[in-house]
Amino acid sequence: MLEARDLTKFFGEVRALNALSVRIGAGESLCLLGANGAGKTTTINLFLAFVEPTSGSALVNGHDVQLDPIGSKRHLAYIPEQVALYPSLTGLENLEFLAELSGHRDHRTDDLLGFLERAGLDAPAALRRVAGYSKGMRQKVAIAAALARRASAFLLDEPLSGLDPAAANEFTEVLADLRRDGAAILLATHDIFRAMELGTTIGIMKSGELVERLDPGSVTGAELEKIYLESMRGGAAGAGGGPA
Amino acid sequence: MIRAIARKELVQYWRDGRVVTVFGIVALLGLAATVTGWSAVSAMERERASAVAMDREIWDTQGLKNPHTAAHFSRYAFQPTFNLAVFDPGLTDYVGNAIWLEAHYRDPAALRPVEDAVEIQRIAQLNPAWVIQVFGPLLIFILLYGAVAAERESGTLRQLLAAGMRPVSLLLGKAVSAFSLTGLLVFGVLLGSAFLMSAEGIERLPDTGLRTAALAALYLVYLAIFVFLALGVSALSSRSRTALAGLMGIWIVATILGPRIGPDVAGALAPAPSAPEFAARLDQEGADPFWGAGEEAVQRRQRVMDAALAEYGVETVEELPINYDGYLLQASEEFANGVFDTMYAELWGGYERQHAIARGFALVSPTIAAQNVSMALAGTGLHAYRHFADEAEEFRREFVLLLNQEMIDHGGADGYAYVSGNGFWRQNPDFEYAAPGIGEAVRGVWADVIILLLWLAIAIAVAALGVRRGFLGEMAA
Repeated sequence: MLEARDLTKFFGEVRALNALSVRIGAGESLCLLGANGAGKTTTINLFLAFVEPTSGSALVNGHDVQLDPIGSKRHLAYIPEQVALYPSLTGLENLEFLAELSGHRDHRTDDLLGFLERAGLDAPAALRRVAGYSKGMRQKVAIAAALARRASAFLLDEPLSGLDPAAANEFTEVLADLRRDGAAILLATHDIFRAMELGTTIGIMKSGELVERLDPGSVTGAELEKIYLESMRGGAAGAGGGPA
Repeated sequence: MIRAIARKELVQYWRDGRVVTVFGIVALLGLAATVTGWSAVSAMERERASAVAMDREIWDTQGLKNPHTAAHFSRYAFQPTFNLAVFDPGLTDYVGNAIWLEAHYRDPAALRPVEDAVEIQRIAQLNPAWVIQVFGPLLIFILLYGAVAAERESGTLRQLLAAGMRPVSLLLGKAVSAFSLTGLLVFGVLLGSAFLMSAEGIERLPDTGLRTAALAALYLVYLAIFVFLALGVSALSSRSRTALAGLMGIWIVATILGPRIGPDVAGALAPAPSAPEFAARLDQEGADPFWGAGEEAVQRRQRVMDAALAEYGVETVEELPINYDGYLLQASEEFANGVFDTMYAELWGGYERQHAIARGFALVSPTIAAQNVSMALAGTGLHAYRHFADEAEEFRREFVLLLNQEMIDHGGADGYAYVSGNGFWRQNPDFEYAAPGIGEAVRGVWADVIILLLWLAIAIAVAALGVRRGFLGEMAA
């Protein structure tokens, strides 16, 4: 479960996030749309306890991330746009390392290969060094790492950018599976149609504020696009949000 | 977590051809230096054994001679090159290991060349200790310059932090991996040296086991300083290239410039006398005031004669039951000994001042402090040579007394015409040097130990600063 309570962040005089209150329960996913600088990445950074909120709080599975940064990350998975792995290690070795970091030393090689398989990476690929991996393959390792650490909350920052359609589709399916299995997902994206596919709620952010909150079942893709573009109009959109 | 990070690092090192190559080169250097050290020590010991035997034979077979003339014919005190010189020869190649034992003269051979007293502290030759002192830090810097900075550049740092990794765990994991590799180098070189040190024909220093353990501890502390410095600099640098440049600067100052500039400055600020100048002073001040034609010398000799006459209760020298020439020679010897004590105290005081100035540079170069402690533990430092020189001088005085006493007791009225033969020479003892134990050996280097511990504290503080500040920017990115 991911929860933001009046979460606010100023960088100096610049307001990056203003009184965000959302709750993403098990099996739910919130897809945040917004221009660059709207506050999407700041929201994710606040959930990761990488920055301190000016006011309010962020909770992961009930742990306040500022009060218990390590405990809150125990079952939290973070997948950025560019998943960085160690190129001289194989996919399996990277996974083993990431699992150990989160305290899961009990996984056998077969278990780890199983996680990779479930994320869409077969064994021969998993045993190759990551130096030759595509972006999509790296993301699969990151998903496998989330499975290995039994993550129940996911923070995804533009994970679909730059993926070819097949890889993006495969990745979306894996995320949908995870959500169905009870994961709480916060996804920051520019991709309206993937947001429609994945989100149980769609939020539109502008200048650090959540200006729209929509049920994807109640709008079509074309309607969402229109709402989004209208939200962005008005001069301020994406112009003054500070670091996102 | 620390174990996982350390293991991952070691696997990466292993697969990184550059790291394997650099480690291999340094290990080969260590091996070559160890074998070279053993070969040099073995050769020196063979030469010493041969010289000792020859010296004895020449002494024993010198034939009929006045004992005091024999005291000028003289013998040598040879210092063994002990086993730990294989690991750290220290000043071995810069000072003599034989002292000429002559009447009326204290040979400064152990300090030769006296004008190079500064030079003798400038150790820059291929030996196992030097390889660790210079290449150990270089290896550490090559392993660790990207410890945090490269993780930041590649984006892995942000993900590791997101996975709940504590910054301090990352630093400790990296420290353990670099430490295990460089520790392997230290123990490899020490074990190799220990194996070769035990070879036949090489004399053991007292407390060799304890000294070897202390050397291992010394170098682990020394390398830990560079490990923590590297981690701190890497964490505080925005890019790995910047970290590498900074660390190379530290390496050059600490291991190359500091140990070279320190003694130069010390030599300029507290110059030592030149060898000919010092030898001339020894001759002049030890002999002239006793044997010269000046009033002071005449009176001094008169006082000796008066004392002899009073001691034996006679009126004239001719009535003395002893050989008066021998008596006078021994009196001159005792006079000269007092002069030598003063002059050598000044000389050693000068060296101590130089040493203290050079040690000041340890504040910018922990290598200087490590070298001082290492030489002390290996029994090859300045204090070890002073111990040997003082022991040799003590023996010289006893030996000259023995010869003069022979002349005094048995020379009667023969004066300088009295001669002894091979039977007497064969009874004379050899100089046998007993090196001090570890307690005595390290007495002069406690300041260096404290400086090293201070450096370790500073390095840990730099790493801690890296933990506090070096990760903040990353998190906010």
